[in-house]
Amino acid sequence: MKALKLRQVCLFFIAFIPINKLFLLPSLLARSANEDMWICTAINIIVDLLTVSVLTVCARKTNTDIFTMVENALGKVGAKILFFVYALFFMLKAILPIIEEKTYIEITLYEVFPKHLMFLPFFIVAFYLCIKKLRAVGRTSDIVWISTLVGLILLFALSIANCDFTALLPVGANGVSNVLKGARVGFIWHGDAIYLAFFLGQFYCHKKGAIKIFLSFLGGAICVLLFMVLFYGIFRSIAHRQIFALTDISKYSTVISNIARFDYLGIIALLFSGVFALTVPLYFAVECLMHIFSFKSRVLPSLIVNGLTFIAVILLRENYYGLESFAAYIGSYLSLFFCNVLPLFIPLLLRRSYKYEYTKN
Amino acid sequence: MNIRKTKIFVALFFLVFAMFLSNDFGLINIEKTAIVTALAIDKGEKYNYKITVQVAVPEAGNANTENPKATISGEGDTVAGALKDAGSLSGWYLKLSFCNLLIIGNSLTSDSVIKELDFFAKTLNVQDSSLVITTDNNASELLEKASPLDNISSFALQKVLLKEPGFDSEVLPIDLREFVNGIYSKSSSAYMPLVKMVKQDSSSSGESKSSGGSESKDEKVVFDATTTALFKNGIMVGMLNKEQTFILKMLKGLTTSTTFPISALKDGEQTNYLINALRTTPKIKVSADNFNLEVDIFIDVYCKVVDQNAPWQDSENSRNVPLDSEVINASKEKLEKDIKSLIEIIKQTDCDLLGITDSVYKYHYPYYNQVKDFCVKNFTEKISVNVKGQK
Repeated sequence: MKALKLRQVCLFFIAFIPINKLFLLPSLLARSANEDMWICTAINIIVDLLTVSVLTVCARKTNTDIFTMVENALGKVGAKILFFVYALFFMLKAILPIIEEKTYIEITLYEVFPKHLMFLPFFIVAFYLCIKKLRAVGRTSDIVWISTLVGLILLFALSIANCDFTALLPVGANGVSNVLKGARVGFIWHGDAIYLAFFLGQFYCHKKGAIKIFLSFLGGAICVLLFMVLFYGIFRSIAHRQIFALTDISKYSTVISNIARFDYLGIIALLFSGVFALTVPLYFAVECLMHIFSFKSRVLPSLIVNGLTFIAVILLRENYYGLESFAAYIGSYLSLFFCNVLPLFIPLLLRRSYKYEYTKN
Repeated sequence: MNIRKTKIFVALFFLVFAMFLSNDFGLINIEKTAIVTALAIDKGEKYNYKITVQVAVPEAGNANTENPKATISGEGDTVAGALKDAGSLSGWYLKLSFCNLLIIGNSLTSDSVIKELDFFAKTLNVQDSSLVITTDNNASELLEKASPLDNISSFALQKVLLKEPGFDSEVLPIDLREFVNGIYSKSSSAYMPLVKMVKQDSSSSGESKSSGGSESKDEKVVFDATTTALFKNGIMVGMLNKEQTFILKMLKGLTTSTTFPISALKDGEQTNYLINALRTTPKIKVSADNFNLEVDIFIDVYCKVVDQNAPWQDSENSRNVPLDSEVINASKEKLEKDIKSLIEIIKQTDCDLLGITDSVYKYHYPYYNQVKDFCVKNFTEKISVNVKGQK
């Protein structure tokens, strides 16, 4: 019996794709590309969709998990090196969104600036989630997608009336270089297609299943695109200054002025999903370490991954600008390479793996 | 092994629970909290800025006592510094998240008001859905004067500034976000209501019970916010009168069931009418080509006569018969005259209230660089007003 169901893979993308991109990314893109920021997001989405397309084809054709596949194709040493690099990459991919959401919670939800250890409970929860098997990821998706959708629908419903869609005109006025610069900055926040590679062989995928996965990914991505459009339509010339878009986009609705900030219900729902979304890269870092060092239990690798990430978050708490600069340049290229370029070689790995198994048999 | 795991998890649970309760959730002492309802900024005497905050002090009381209020002032070389000074002098923690009104004194409008407002636009402590206004005098006076509309003058001001959609209003309010957006946009233009105080003498019988004794005569003020101040690059460059404010509101599509007076010659006699514009559909179309800019302004208005001071009874009233041609023509003339007057002010002050620069940028981008410098001063307007309605 496989660890995951097709439904859970689809819901995984709906639940977790939109979350990490709603905090600082919109203002960063507005800084680069102004009204063309939605094109930057569209480019990131298209690149991810290409990767998803390739991976869904692979998912239909294999019952072997990615670790076995890479080991058959590259040998044990080659596989260990590759997954070690991926483990480091996933930890790096996790740090920026964790610091973002930590800063968001500190600034918007607390009246008085809290101690940095305030975020330690998240790491305890992440540690717990990381020691669970892959089946738990699927079950989490089954629940969390509701919270994500409710949060997004509430925020969109409250903000759409205040959005000036004509603010996105004229298209392309900022120039191709600024748009590509914005798209480059966004890669570290996107690149969620890589997780599908780690689901290979863990669920049964038929032809229609591949289409369902593609459409689920597209649905999650469209939510992000719509958020970017609404964000710029509401803030226009001052969009680049709105550092935490999530709290701001829905508060101009008349019903909010008359009643109260009940849009916080949607925000809290998204933050709840955010706890799990932030844990996803840490989880796969633990998966990689499990297969490299053949740990008997997931406790130690989970402790290592979460412990190191926690230390990095504490050490980098006053160097966010440096981390952001790193992420926007080197981090983005790394993300593009590991999340979008390398997965394109999986069909070749699959072929080599088949040959290896054929030879072995 | 299972018992050991269980013990570890229970220990972890209590550890997390203890940590969760170790902070006081960032709560602040409500007795030392000043809930700021409005904020006035003027030029300081010793420093650059003087901030006056109107505070609603939470106190236990019964339903018959009025809400106590206070104003605190502070000075500083920056707006945030003046706020800090106000907090330090009073010993109160100034909670700005309930501040819904920012008032700029006239001493600051000759320079860019963005120097004062930018802090509020950037900080997360103040809602950028707060209303912004200016005044023809010191901003602090608006907070210090008593008003018969409400015990707290900032609430009285907000009643004047904000009305529910569908209710008659001659005020063109704006919030902080829209104002700052306007200044930072391509047109660098924005507006805000200019509030004037109108004194009203009233004897206070039964008023101000909780403020300690009633006075024989109280000078109270009401607020007139029908004038609109115009800003270009953050500096005040002109004003719109009541009629110009009304027509600008109409052109922005913000009027529903708004009334305006006209005078028409009917049966040889001058009759005054109050017309209710039930539905207004404005359209502003900008056409641009090499060095030429044309702005077509079209308003379609559906009206109803609310009142007329005719000496005879008009049996056709309230029977939904179409408006008389005299009324239609008089309405058209009045609206066209007001639009022309508005355009004149726009060209004089270079304050792009109609969003012409933004329209050229969005819809005629190839010509934007050629026309952007004279967008507002040198356009050709074509005005078309269509009025129909019922008695």
